Amino acid sequence: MESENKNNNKKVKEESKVKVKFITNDANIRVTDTPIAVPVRLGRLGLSEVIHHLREEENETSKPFDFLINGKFIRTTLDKHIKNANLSEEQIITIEYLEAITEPKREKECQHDDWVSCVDGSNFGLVVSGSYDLGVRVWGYDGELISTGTGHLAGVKSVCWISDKNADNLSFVSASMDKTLRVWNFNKSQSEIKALACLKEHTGTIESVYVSPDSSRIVSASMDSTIKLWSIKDIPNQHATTSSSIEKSNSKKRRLANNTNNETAAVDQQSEIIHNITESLASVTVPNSQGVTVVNWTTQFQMLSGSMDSKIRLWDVSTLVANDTIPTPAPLTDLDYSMESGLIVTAHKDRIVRIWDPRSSDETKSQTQSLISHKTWVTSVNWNPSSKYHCCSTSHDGTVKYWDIRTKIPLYTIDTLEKSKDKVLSSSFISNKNKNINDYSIVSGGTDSKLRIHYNDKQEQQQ
Amino acid sequence: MNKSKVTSKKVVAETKVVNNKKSEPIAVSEPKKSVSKPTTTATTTVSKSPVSTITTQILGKRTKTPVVRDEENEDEKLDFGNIDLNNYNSEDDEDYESEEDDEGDDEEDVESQNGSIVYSESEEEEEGGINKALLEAEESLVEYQSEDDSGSISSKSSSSTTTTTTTTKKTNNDEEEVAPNKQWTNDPNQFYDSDDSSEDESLVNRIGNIPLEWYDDYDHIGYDVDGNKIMKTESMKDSIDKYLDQQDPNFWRTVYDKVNDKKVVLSDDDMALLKSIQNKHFIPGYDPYADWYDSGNNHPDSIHPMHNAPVPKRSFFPNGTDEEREIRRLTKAIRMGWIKLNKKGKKGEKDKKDGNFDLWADEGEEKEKTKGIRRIAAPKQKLPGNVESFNPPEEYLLNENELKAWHLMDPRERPHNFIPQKYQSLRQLPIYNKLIKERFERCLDLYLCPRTTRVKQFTKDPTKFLPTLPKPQDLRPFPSHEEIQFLGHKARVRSISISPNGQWLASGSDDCTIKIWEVSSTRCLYSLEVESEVQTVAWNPNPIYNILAVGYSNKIIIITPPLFGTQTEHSPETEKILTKPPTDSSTEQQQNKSVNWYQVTGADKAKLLEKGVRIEIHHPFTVKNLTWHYKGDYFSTTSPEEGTRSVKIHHLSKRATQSPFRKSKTPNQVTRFHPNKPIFFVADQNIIRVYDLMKQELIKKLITGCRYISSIDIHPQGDNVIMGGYDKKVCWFDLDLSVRPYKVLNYHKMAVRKVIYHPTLPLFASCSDDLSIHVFHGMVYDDLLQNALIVPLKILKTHESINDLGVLDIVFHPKQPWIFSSGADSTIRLYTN
Repeated sequence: MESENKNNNKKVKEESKVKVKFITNDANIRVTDTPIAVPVRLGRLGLSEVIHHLREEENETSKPFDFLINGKFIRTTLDKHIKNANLSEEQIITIEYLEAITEPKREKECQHDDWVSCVDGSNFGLVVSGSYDLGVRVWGYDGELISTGTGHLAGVKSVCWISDKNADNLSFVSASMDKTLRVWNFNKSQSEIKALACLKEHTGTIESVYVSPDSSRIVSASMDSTIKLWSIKDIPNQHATTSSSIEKSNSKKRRLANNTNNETAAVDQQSEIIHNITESLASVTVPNSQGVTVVNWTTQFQMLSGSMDSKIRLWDVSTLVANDTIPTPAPLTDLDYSMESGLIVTAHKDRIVRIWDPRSSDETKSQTQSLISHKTWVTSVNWNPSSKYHCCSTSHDGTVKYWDIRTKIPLYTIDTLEKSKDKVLSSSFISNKNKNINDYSIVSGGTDSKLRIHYNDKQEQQQ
Repeated sequence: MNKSKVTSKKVVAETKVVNNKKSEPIAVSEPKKSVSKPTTTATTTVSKSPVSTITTQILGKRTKTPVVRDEENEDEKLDFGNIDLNNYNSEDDEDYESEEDDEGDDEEDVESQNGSIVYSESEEEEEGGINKALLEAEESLVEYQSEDDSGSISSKSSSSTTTTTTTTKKTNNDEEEVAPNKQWTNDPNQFYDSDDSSEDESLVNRIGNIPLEWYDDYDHIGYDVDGNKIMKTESMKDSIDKYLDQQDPNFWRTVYDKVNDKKVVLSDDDMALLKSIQNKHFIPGYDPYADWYDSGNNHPDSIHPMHNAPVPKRSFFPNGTDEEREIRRLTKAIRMGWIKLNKKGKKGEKDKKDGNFDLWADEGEEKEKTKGIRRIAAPKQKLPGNVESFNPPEEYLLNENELKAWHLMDPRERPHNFIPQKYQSLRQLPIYNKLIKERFERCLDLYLCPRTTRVKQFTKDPTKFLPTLPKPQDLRPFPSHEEIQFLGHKARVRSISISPNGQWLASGSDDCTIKIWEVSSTRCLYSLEVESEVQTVAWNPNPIYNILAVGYSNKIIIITPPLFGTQTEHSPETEKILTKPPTDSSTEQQQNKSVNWYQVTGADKAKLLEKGVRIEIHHPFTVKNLTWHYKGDYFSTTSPEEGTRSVKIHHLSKRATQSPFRKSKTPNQVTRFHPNKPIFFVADQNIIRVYDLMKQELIKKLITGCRYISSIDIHPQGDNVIMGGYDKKVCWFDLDLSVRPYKVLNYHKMAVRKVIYHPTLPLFASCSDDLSIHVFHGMVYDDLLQNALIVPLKILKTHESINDLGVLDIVFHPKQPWIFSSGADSTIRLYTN
């Protein structure tokens, strides 16, 4: 076989042409699917030129494409790829092409008072961020500060939008190091953030919070090795709208109370407006977990958790029993579940981003891909909500990397932090209404106390 | 025996003469002489008749022969002697064996001839002719040479001698001891003519030299070579046969030969000989009155020669003196390899021969050839010299100055341990009072001192000495690279401590601040500025409390860091342990008056309160070290400057202080609580003491061999201790094994600052001023028989050196294989796997 291959290679060099067929999913850039003979010495750019040439009559501005053969990206020249993939030049090779994803050229900076620890942009057009300055902020898509909410006594570690049909009356939940969760109401019309409830039961810092897909429950994970479920329905939503002014004054009062160290009075006053929920719907202690760092939902019946003992656990929500445990090589810092592909992406403290398939029965085979490019701890990972293959990761090395899980090399790296010692702590995709893969922007926050929204010109035009 | 030898020698001598003759000019071998030859033999008795010059010459030679023969005999004897002295080695003998055998045969021939000659004298006169004689003389030359050699050996060869004895016996039986010898020696030619008779001799049985009377009762006289009986014939005859035998006319002259078991009829000559013997006449043919002829050479003293004729060339004796001949013989023997020079043997012989036996000679060389132990002989005592004399020479006596100097000298430096003194006589010599002591010490020395040489075992491969350790790759996980840094301190970070859940890291620095960091984000959550450099920080190891103890200058402060926000309540346990017990309201029952506890209250301390500072404990001296009991209620501090009472144990909930140890020679440096037993470890500069707190007694003293202990740590299971010293040493102690180090690790190039065990994983680490952190695998087995396994894993070296200070403190993450280090470069670094 090898000798044959060599002969073939020689032939390839002599003929240096191979018949290919271009296909694509994107109707806008579709070209003829009749097989064309192309020189094998061509790489990515060469093939892009071929496509441009084929599309010339459409008068498209030159834009690079990415090419896949059997789900693998062409990163070298065509012949090398064919050789590595053990393909035959005799047959017609089907090449899938798609618009190359380019690094977002533009970014907006949103200044915080302190490190930005968490960010969520999953609600359309709005970004909520939590910071070590104890505040939660809601930002517009264009990077404009809409409102700030205060109330946490320690740094905010995690925020999550609660999806609601009511577009005007949005709510989100934040988790903090002060061992509490707070549910906030964001009134879009009034541009105000109001605290609805304070959920207290944890005995350690809360590292992660996530809302179930049906927006009925909240799950929180804490360093005290517990996972707690909370019901959103217990929190009266309309209450806040009526007594917003009182709440405001109360918060002021509370500040005063803080100064005088008269906590009990403050709590008493607070309790009138803010619901103090001191009992969770359900709680489970994760044995030997050394602290649960992240939770997520797959469906409304199943949860995921990642902990410091390097294990991914799959929980049955109704019984709160860990159905499955996937051991990983390093402590987890973050994970995300893709609704599109059913895969889990995890961030680890050993610099590696890993992709897992929870559906495969064999535990050793469940790891499908490991993406190695970060220089130190990976802090967060996110699936692109509109893509099966794309995710982004952030790291202590100050970079945001955008990955296609079909290739081991990141598609691009955003490295815009001025100081090399600054770290990126969190990132999120800002999803748009049209589910175009390339139509997205990434928001990231880190130790430079800035929320950075990375986007392309095209998106701005669309906006 | 001797006789037989002599006879054989005579034969030799005779042949030698023949040899000499043969070397004479051809004139001798002229046919004329063939006539004269028999005449000479015949006319030996008629020697007075005139003879020709030639014959006279020959005669002269002839007559000379006895003399020459004697000389030869003497020579031979000398040979014997010399060779006996030389005492050939057995190897040489072997070389000779074959020759001997041959020679034996020859001799046998010769000597059997001796016997036979007697009977076959008639044949002698046969016309052998001188030519034949000469031819045979040539043979005899060969014989002679071999004979010569054999002569030197024959004394040893038993085989040849036995045969000769038999022959001699025979002659004895025949009672012809001397006569036949004389007879044939006079004429050598006879000797050769009698060759035929030797055939008869082949009949001679070989029963050996056995007394025949042994066989008197048997019908045989022995066994032949094939083991068959040799039957007696004659003796078995009955009287009739014997009578019939008498009818034989020769009966009267028949003699029975017992040995050969046959009858011998004596010839007329025999009879004549016997008769002449019986009549006391000389043996026929022997002239007792022969003319004595002196050649003249025999008298070296004579002034005038007997004749004036020049000494003929033929009389030149080429062999020279005896000595030269001996030397030549020996050189030849050496060259031919007959004699092998073995120096040792000869030396030994010589020494023995000297007669002076060195009684002490072997004592020194006494080497036991046992392969195991090589003993060294005990040193000999010095022989007494002139100093020891009762009357020493003047120069040995000490004058006053010397005496003074002697007294001032160190006893070990003195040339001798007594003062030499002079006495008139030996009987005035007093008793030596140190005698018994010296003898005793000598005896002690002789039997107590192990005197063996250690044999170094050299192996070709030095790697064989290395223990077989597992590979570091197989012992993962362990911290292997620097992951992140915690930046913020402005001066060297002296002490770090990690919270029991591994979430927060506290650090105390020379910039007078205490900081608490969130490990996962490297965020500094808390910072408190104090009056002076922070010496030590320590989290309470009990996870239900959130308490940090900090020691700086002469204060200890107990902090409940507001990590969950300033207003957040602390856990009820924390609050409970920090509330002031009601008993000590007015009269504090403090055992130790020098230590005071203060609750932080009041408006002036509001800032401190906000920072979570709850209690201040004032000490008289700087607190260098602080360590918690695992339950979190007690903690112990050391302030080495305080001297003897430097160790204090504080009871947090009762707010009481004890200083349990009163006496300590060197200031105590570090203390540790046992992880699960009421046992307390106190290290001073050299020794680690282990106390039982319940029984209040000392259990053990660990002898470190270290000059200055910097840090100790107890294995989580409690049976092993590691120690780091400022003299670069790291020692591992197994408390069950010994009070001495199980392993001493000398890897660091500068002072070791801290040694720690991992709380959960089989790891331990040491950090040093040489900027390196050494991470080891330290597996402790539950099996008491198995010693701990220590494998060096990794050297982490990323800190920078400032003022020769390197890594000041290290701490392991409680669960993960991570190690935090703080250095003089004001950074805190985290190394992960």
